[in-house]
Amino acid sequence: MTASSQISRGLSRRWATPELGPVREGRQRAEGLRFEKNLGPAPIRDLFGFLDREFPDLLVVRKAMPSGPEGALLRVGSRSLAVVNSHDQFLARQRFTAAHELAHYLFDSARFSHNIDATISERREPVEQRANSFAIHFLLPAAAARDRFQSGTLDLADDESLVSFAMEYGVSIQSLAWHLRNVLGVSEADRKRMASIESPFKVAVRLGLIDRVQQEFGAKGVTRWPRRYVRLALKGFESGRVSRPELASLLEDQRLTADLEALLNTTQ
Amino acid sequence: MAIDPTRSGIGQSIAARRQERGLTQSQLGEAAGLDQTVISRIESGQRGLDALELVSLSRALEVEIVDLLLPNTPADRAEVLAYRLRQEDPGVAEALAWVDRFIANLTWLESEVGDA
Repeated sequence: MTASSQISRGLSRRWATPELGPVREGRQRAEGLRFEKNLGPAPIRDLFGFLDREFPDLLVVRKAMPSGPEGALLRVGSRSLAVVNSHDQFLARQRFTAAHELAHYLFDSARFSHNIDATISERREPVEQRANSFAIHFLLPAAAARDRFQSGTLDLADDESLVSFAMEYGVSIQSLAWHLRNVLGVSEADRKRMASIESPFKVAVRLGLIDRVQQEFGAKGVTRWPRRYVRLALKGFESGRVSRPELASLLEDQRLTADLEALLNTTQ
Repeated sequence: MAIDPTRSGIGQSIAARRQERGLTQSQLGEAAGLDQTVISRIESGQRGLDALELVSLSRALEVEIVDLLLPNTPADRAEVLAYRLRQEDPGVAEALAWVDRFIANLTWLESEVGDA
């Protein structure tokens, strides 16, 4: 525990911060979707696989766009495309962006043909607040945070406890701090202190969460196409209708192409 | 790419979007408050439609009115999107320029390879 930790104890179990309309709505919709998908209070480890499986009509693409927006939801005819910018973004941030765009897809896609989220957390429009609230509640259900706190296994004054919990659910420490303010009613000063934990990844390494830290760093700059797209490309390659140069062009990744080609050759 | 204001152009566009959504002409008619025979005649270009009908159909199909006036292949629609993005923010349009190519690739794969 850090000596400077000044988190107040004995937090009210009631909502200390009145929730705004869009925030409450985002939470309710996230809880509804978690219930519908039978997710319980558990972390969603493979969010992108989950989206591929459960929302086949939503094409989720992770791509590095150095000067691009954090995320976007684009509608092209009947197709919906959720774009997550992986440039200089850790995995937790990409997960949040994807969940944010999922909210737009589920609740707002009839409203616009495209929605560009240049900087997600800075937007204050109700529809964006709702998407942000949905995202964090979908990734980390309020019940899980409350249960963990009430059982004493989440210590708000302990950086290691906070980082461990954030990494377990794959959310950033900033998102967790915002969430705890809304869910547990911690003060704004405490939220700011939690959100400014110095070097959360160093704390995670000290905790032995090496794999998780590697995943966070490894996600920066990745390109990941929707599973359906990759499957089609590989099916075409296997059947000879897609050449190797075409496969490389479709996937935009020479190493992945070589790996997949080697895999297909060894399994034939 | 230009708006196609002809009866047949709009009719084809409506038919394409109806089929994408898996709706029958009767279902679309019901959602838009129009008879199935009217939908059939609009789609085949035998009948024009007024502004209120255009609004009803765009709502029923959950598309913007302009989408019904534009060309209707997936690649064309990616171009429409790119055009709109360029009007709003050239920087964002540049960052998302790959979307055009991705949609074209996906469309090509679907036609060449079939469904995955």
